Amino acid sequence: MAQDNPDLHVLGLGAQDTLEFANEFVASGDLANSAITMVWDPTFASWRDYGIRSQPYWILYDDQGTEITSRPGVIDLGAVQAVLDA
Amino acid sequence: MRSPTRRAATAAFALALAATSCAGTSSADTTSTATTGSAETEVAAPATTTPVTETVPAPDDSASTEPSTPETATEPETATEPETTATAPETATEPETATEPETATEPETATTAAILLLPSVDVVSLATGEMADLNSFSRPGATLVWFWAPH
Repeated sequence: MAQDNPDLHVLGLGAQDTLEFANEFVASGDLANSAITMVWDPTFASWRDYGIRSQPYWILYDDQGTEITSRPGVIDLGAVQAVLDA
Repeated sequence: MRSPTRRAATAAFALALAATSCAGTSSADTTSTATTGSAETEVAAPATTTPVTETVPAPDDSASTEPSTPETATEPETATEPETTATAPETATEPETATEPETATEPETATTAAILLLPSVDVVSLATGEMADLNSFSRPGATLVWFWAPH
């Protein structure tokens, strides 16, 4: 999705477990070579700040920084595309 | 007819008169003239000498000319002042240009924060392995934040 939409910046914000697990997750999904920016928060502070209590979870912002969608579960590609086309 | 003695006496008397009158007149005139002349000469001499002497002080003028040379030497000092003035522009040049780029950098950071402000939390970049503030990964445009866990 990120590769098909250069104007969309996808930030993968991981937490929980260990850094070693995080690196294995990125390697297994071949995410290192993707257009997704992958980071890992060892303190869980970022998730706590957003109020995230389950995963996966996603939040979509438009190009003005306004939050459009915030919901748990699998990413709704149709909803994301609708925002990009708007 | 006169006797030779009489003639001689008359001649001697006439000569004496002539000599007396000439001597008296000429001596008086000569004396006065000489006196006047000498007096004038003496006065004139000092007068002439005095001006000459005054002219000697004229060297004061030449002395004033000598200072004029130092004055000329002073002028270069004045020329040095302009050099200092010329240095001022250089100071004006330094300033300045370096500050503009810095000002240009600030707007970029402000623009990034305006588009999407993320929590100020240190996270690990899995691409580089280095720690960085989460906001340093913010980019302009639409953003999808995906929360994931390794397990």
